[in-house]
Amino acid sequence: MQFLLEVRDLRVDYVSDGLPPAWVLRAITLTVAEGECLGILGESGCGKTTLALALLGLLPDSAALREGSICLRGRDLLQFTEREIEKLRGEELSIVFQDPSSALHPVRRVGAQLTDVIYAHRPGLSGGQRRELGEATLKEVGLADTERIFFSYPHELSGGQRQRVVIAQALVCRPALLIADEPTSSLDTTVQAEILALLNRLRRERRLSLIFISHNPAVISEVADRVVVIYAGQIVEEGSAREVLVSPLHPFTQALLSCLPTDKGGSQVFPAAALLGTAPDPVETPLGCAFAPRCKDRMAECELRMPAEVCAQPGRQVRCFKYGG
Amino acid sequence: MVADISMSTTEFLIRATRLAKEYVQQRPLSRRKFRVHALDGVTLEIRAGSTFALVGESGSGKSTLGLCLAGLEKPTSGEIWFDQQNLLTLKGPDRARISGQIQLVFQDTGAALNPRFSAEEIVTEPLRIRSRLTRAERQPWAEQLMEQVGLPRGWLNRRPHQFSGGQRQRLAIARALCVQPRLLILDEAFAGLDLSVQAQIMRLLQELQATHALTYLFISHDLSLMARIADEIAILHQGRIVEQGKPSDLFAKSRHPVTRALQEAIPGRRCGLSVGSA
Repeated sequence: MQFLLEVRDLRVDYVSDGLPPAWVLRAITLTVAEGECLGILGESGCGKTTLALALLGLLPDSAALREGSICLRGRDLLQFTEREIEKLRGEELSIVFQDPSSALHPVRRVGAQLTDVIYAHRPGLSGGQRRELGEATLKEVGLADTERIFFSYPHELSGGQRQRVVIAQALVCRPALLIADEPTSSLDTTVQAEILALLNRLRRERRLSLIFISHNPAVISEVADRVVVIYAGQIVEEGSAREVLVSPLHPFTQALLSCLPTDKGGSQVFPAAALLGTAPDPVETPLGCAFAPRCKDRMAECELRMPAEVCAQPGRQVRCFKYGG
Repeated sequence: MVADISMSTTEFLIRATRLAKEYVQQRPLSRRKFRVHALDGVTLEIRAGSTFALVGESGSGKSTLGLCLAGLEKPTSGEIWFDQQNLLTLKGPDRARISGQIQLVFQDTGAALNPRFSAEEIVTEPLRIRSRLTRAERQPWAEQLMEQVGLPRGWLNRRPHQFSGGQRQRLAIARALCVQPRLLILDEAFAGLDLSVQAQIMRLLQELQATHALTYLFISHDLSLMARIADEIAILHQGRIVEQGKPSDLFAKSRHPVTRALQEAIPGRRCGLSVGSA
């Protein structure tokens, strides 16, 4: 089966003077099929955003991509020149970041910022055609009164409207894959629900593939077909969204899900030791499983060596000794 | 003045009646002024020792209400009674004493904590302002406060940037506890935190409530989380409370469309990942 995106054994370190290299991403292997939504779940600092930046070729200078391959429709992006990647961004891959107010230029009208993207990729279009395409895209992302919005400045729009503009910017040149990095975390719950509905509609109408990155399993459950769970730069669990989020296997996923406010148990008090402590310092390469210090099911083996990824059930990968890793 | 203990469990710690707040606004380059009704006749009562949640979308007036109750904004009209005293007419030392009993914790600890202060200076700043204690006398307080919020005593010399987001939120809570308040107003204090950190802070707040007899007012847009912790929830919309009740009642028979919209917006309902899952 041909995947739209295929990432193999990706390893990224952050290097800075005087410090040992920091462990950011290790052996990341994942695929996204045409029209599929892959959810990436993990705590802050686990490497989710670094992964998104690596896919787009936007890693900062301090990051070193050590090994692996990123194949889009079978072509390895790591072999591309900067110019070729630049052409790809916007036309094949696009990204939407968390904070729409810092993603837009504060003193340029949103219409101009939208047509800039069109100009960069379709220089042949006339000004009128660019505006037409821009307004049509604004309409497509659910903005009414597109003429007014086209000539507005970002501060004149609400948070939800701004995020729609950013999504329009990302989609205006019809990319096949959109990476959404915590796109709703700075929004109200009701606006979040609208943006999630919008993404689901765009997936249907455009057959858009989506990588949806979030720290919140409840939000991921609204959009994802499949989920990978990342802990300290490694994929610890993978499977269909429903299976991973409803009956998680890895102790980290289980602990994370128990932090969600649900009515299970009925008691008002939060569970004491759902997920204590913090993720390991990425500078210290752990000998054993990175989650072991926080794990309630820790065994002697866990601190001695790294568990391998095993197929615990059909279609479900998990990196844990409990399942024979 | 002092109510006896058996009474105080049903006493209201803070009561606001017909609270209104208007802001006069002006568009850039325009002379026309117009009024914005941030609060439009809000009446609420919070029982001593309980947890009350104000839930609404952004712009509903919930932060303005928090600021008014904390005495940081002056309402245009209405009354606020705290512990049988009229907050808006109190003056001088009486007012100062009360304002120490109401403390605020904000969402953005990056902005709420002075980056040049050490943790010790941050958590004891209210004491420096309100008491005549010397720095050496404040030191043991600082250590005790750090312990209460679960931070190592040895970190008193660290500055805010050396703490993680969750630890900074603990620091902000320690500072609020410094002057032994009775009411803690937490304005979106959990937004932007990881779920595990959020759960840890919630747990900490629940423990502190039990040991310090604290009353909480949470301000949030997250109905699911509030339903998990609050004794009572008020839904705010366009400066008015449109519905109010116990979380279970609110979920079982919400009447107002705003409540229903907030309920339907809760992510993860279909997979049983939230309160009030379908």
